[in-house]
Amino acid sequence: MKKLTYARLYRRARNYRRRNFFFTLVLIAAIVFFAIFADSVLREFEATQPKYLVDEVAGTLSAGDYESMWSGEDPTLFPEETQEDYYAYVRGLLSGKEITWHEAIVPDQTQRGYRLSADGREFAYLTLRRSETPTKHGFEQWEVESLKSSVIAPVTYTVRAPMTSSVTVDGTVLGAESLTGTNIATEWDEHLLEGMPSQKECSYQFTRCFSEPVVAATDYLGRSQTVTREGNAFTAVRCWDNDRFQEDIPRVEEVLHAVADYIVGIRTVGQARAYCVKDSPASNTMYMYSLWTSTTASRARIEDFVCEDFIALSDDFFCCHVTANFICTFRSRDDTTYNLDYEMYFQKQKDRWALYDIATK
Amino acid sequence: MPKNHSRNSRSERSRREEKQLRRRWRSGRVFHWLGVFLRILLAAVLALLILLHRMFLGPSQTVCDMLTMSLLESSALKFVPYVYMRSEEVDEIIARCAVVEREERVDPSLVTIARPDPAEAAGQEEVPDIELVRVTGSTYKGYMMIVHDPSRVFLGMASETGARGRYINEIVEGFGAVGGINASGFYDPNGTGNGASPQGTVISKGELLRFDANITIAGFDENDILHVGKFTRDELDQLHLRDAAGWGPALIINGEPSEVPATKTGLNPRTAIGQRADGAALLLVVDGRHASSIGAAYTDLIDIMVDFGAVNACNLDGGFSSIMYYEGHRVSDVTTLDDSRRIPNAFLIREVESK
Repeated sequence: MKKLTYARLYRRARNYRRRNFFFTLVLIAAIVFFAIFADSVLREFEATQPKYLVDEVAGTLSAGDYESMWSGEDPTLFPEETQEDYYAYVRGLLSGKEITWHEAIVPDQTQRGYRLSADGREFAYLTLRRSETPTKHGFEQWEVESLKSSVIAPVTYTVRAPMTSSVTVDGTVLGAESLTGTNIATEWDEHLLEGMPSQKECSYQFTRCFSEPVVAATDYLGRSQTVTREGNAFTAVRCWDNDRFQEDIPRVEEVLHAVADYIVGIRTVGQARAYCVKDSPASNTMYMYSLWTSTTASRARIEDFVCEDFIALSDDFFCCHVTANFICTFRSRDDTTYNLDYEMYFQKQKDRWALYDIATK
Repeated sequence: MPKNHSRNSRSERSRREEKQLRRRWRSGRVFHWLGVFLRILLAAVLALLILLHRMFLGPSQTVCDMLTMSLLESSALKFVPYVYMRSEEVDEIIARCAVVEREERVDPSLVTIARPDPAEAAGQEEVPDIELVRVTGSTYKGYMMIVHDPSRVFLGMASETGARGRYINEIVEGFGAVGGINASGFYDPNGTGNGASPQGTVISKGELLRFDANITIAGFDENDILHVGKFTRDELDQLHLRDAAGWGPALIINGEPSEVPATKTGLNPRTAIGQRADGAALLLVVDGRHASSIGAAYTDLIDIMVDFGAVNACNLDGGFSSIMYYEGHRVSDVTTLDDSRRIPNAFLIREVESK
């Protein structure tokens, strides 16, 4: 054993101090390295989180890029609608809305599912697939497998229109393949003269997946009909012939007055039937009615007379809708107001319109 | 002679000095190694603190959420996230990771309890009354106990007086049951609770022992249908629950899982109860807080319950309390250092004979 002297002890202590210093440096370096390593691992872990992929998909949708959604669709399911229709529909769904998502339960461990919503309304389902190559530190990576709309489903619409009308949807005429019913009776049918063209209606059915259908109809004279909508049911309203019959309104009022007068006993059945077509339903009904009527008024007048919705059912036959207040004065009691609301049918006889039938609305 | 004497005395002094120097050298070495040890210890502590710092405030929000929720769900380490983050930031994470529970009521018609006719069952392959299935995931291991006859599942209270809780084996053996899992959460300040004060509504043998409308519970009614949710007093009266306890959140109601906004939240030991459409009760315990099983998130519990066909399921008390006991053995790995914890009650499985 070498003799320990002060000089040697000093040298040894100096060596230890050096070693200690290097050891401390190594420790500090290890800590710094550890911190950098931990940061890189955490950064890599965060980057592999599927939520960023979902955010990215949601971001492209928010930016108006719907290519990823379109590629997940099967266009054969909506043959009548185009890619532009699809984009317009999705734009309507998503435009200006906040897109959120939440994870769905997927039994397959290699997949993850996410429900995407716009302002709380779910519109698509995103499936991610686990990538076969993990990251450097062994974290799972994910990639988009599919993005499918979850709101696109066939919607059935119906259209009811006169059989003589032509109905178009998005510019395409509905043909026999869309017909679901024909010869549907209307309120006018039972009042028509024999041999007159039918006023019956028919119904059509068609489907759309996402676009709003534009339904139009034209009548047999080529006039554009008003189309009303209630839910998914469209109705093509008949074109009224009001312009054509404006000058006949006083005649209608005169006839209505005569009929009303007869009902309250101011005119006789004979006087009233003079306004009717001979042996017409109106004439016969008045005759039947005369057998048991007993009401008698001393005076009567018509107020608030409205005559509209004329339909020329043929050149010498039309119907119209009349409403009026019929105010009767009785000897034994107070004045009474009757609200009249009739569909009146007129036939031309010797250049004058005579009442053919009358129906209570 | 004097010359000799002086040489001797010099060598004597030299020996003494050397001895002294050697002593100093030895003590110096001790201090040196102590210094090395302390520096390594300091470096380890520093590394841990840096790691925690990076996990809470580093580049990964997911890790921050996961760690925060895991620690907040524990009893003793709730304070740690607040060391690194402001309370508003912690609240933000809680809000982001919270389970959005379904508020609808359980539809009993979705559960049809299969009660096999003994005559019909005679010719068929025998299905065990209770099945114990190992469940595993990337971060957890656990056990699912399937009790085919839900009428066998009941709530066993640890004590009549509520003075303190009991260990799961004591409760199971006290009721002569086959096994069981922990049930109610309980008052547990800093992890020192003794299971004396359960939280949430507790019903045992049809008797309402404690009421709290703000905590989600799971309870079997008289027809052995499992109901999950937060119930008012009136609703409890209408449901006629025979046994109920819980902690929440509701995991699945009427086949629809609750919404968990964050992909992974806290990883912890978990306990849950559910019911399949055929009425079978599902008792789940997931181990956690050790190397082989860190724990499960709520999404994991939902996944497991869905895999097992649950139509209704509810989370029960988790963490150190999570435990499953079956046929005289602890099935799950307890996370406490000193064996299992005292708990206020447990969902137990009745012996067939004693029914």
